[in-house]
Amino acid sequence: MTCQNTLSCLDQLVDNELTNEQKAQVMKHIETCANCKREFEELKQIKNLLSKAKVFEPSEEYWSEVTGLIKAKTTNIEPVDSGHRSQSELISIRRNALLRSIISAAAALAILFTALLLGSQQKQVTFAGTESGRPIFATADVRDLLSSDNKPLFSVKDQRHLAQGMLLVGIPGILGRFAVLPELMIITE
Amino acid sequence: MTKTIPELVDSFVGGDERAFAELIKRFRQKVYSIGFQMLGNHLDADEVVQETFVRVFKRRKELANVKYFSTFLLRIATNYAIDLIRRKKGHSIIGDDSSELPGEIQLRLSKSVATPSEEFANKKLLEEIKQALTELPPKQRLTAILHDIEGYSKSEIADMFECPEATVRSNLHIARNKLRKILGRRLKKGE
Repeated sequence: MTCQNTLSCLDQLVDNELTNEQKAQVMKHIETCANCKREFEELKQIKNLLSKAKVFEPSEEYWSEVTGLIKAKTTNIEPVDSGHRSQSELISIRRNALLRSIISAAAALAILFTALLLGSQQKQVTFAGTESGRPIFATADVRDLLSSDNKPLFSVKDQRHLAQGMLLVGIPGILGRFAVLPELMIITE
Repeated sequence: MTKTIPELVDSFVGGDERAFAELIKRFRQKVYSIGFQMLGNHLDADEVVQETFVRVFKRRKELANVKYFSTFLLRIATNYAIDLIRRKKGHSIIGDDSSELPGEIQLRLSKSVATPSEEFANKKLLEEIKQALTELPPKQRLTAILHDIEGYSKSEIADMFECPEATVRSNLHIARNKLRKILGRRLKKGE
């Protein structure tokens, strides 16, 4: 018998799972091979050590307390069928999950396109700034912010306020307002 | 006349509370022992016991199709113990039963639960084994505990884990080899 064969049988040997013939062959090799013998002895010791590690038994007082707690926790609890679903139930669950995912994705796309559409049609812009030292927040038509030659009427400072004001406005309007912002920004002080 | 386990299970499924109490009585120590060996302290073992029996109660309808109650029960217990270990990953799960507990619970335990030193002649050995076991991954740890400490057969463990017996053999082999390395110093002493 080779060392490899012997080592592969050591677990079965210490667990007493080998036939008498197999056991005799393994033991014969172990007696002549120091390495395999050491492996066998250590494995036997491990099993022996573990067998000593039995857990103490709690007292009857503890058990009556625990049993009472379990009873309290299980009062008025109905049994549930967890797991063991039939194949048709599983298929149905998967199909419903797929359907729900498709509907959710379609709804999300519809909301996004509506937001873009509504936003791009916005003609109003929001202006945030100060008037005589007092903060103002107003909404005006885009055309009112341009002069007759299509030049913006506001300074860079005003535009900064304008942009800040836009950020205060939520979706979907903000998407459309950003669309007109670059045109308003093409000016110098 | 004492009822057999299948008789008790039938009564329990039929709604007999006394049968459930009797099943708890017959299997509580097995569940506690696995919980204690896996998690290394009384409080977690206590949680494993309570949660296991509550889950068995909730899933009692399934028992009509179960061959062995003990396998069903211990599968729930071992799965819960593994979950608990994973939840506690990163936190130490080694601790003396009484030293880390609040005063009131310590007092209650000192009355109701024996300390490890009362049960084991060699407390140091117990601590070394507990420490060595916690260094193993949960499945390997559980396999070593169930087979070498609790005395379950490989086929019983395979039923509990719902895996092939070869997987149990492999886990046990790896676990023992790791324990040999961890407990190497003690082995060299020949103890």
